[in-house]
Amino acid sequence: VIIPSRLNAIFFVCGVLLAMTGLALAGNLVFPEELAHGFLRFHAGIGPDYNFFPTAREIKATLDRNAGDDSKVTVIIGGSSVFHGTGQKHPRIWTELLQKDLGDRFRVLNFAVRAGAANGFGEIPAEMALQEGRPFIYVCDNNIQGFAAPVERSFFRKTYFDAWQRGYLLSWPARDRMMRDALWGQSDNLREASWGAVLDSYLNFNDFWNYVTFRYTGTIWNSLAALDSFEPLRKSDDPENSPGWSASVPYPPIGSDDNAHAMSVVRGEIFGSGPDQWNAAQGQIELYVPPALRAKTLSVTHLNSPYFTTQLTAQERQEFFQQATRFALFLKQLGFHQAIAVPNDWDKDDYHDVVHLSMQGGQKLADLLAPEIVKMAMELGYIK
Amino acid sequence: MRGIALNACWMLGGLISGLVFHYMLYRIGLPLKPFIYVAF
Repeated sequence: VIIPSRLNAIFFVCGVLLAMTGLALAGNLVFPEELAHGFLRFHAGIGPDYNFFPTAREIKATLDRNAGDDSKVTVIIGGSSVFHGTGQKHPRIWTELLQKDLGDRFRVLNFAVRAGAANGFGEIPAEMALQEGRPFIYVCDNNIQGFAAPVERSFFRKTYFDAWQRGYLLSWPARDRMMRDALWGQSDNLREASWGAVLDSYLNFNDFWNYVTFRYTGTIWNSLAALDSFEPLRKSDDPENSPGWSASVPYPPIGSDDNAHAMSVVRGEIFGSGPDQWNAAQGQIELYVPPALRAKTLSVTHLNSPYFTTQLTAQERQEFFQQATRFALFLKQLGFHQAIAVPNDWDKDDYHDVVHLSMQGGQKLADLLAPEIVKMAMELGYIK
Repeated sequence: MRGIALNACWMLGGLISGLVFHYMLYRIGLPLKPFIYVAF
């Protein structure tokens, strides 16, 4: 049995402190050049499925590297998998088509993530841009029943707390109070994310090990990656389905369990007449979205595929579309610069499932939003 | 001489422990298993 002397223990502790200090400094210095260079989107291969959670500084690096100087208007796309372009593959992701529509005066950056919301992830680079005084427009999507989702339920809460802790989010008293109180709050999810962000702000372990994972080697077995688990994530391709895939997968037959499930999702979005849901939606916006950001935001209420909405009763269908229109108006009343709903005359082939757009639908979305963005850029004084 | 070597070993042990601890702080912030490829 080796019994350490006092001197041995001192050397051991010095070793621990030296390693931690060195790694914290290294985490502070690493710059995710490869991640930022040629950024297209945080696709599934560099997302939570593969145990990769981008840090706030990686988002900042991606924004700074790609937005360039202020001669161009940065169009920051945020929101859910619909705006992420799930079902669309390079070079026909809708944001790439939007870039073509908008031309050289604009720079479109897609920060929408699968399982994301208008707040919580894409909002982070938007608030960074606002703090830096960049000319930018935040374009994000929401469904007909809500804009902002509780960060407690977000897969990206770690990134959100990281951004707040490092001062990348705007000062907004309601949110600041919630984020501060999370340290000692009842919610395990928030408390873990909050303490993690505090520790990480000193030790930089997320930046350092994300860099190692992306640049050199994966460190965690992942059943999706299987034998490639220990390959660096920079080699990870966007695993989105190939062009033509959506056309080869038909909608579920009417009467099937899959169809019934999809219909329950669609019906579940209809509020009914009570004010509770509107109040809840407003409460989330007031908590998470500072008015200064709302003033630079174009929000787009996405709908569901007509394959499903045509299965609603006439009254349900009317309520569904009225709610979409009303939600856009509701957002404008809350100070959003512009809020629109996707037209309800799109075809079922514009979608490839309940809510995600096909490449054809992506083109329609780009064509719909490009003039709105140009108009907004003029109103904000970015272009003449 | 033996004392110096022993202390160096303890320091090396400390360095490795620090590295592992730093990694574990990163690792415990991740989900234990990846979530299934979600549709939404």
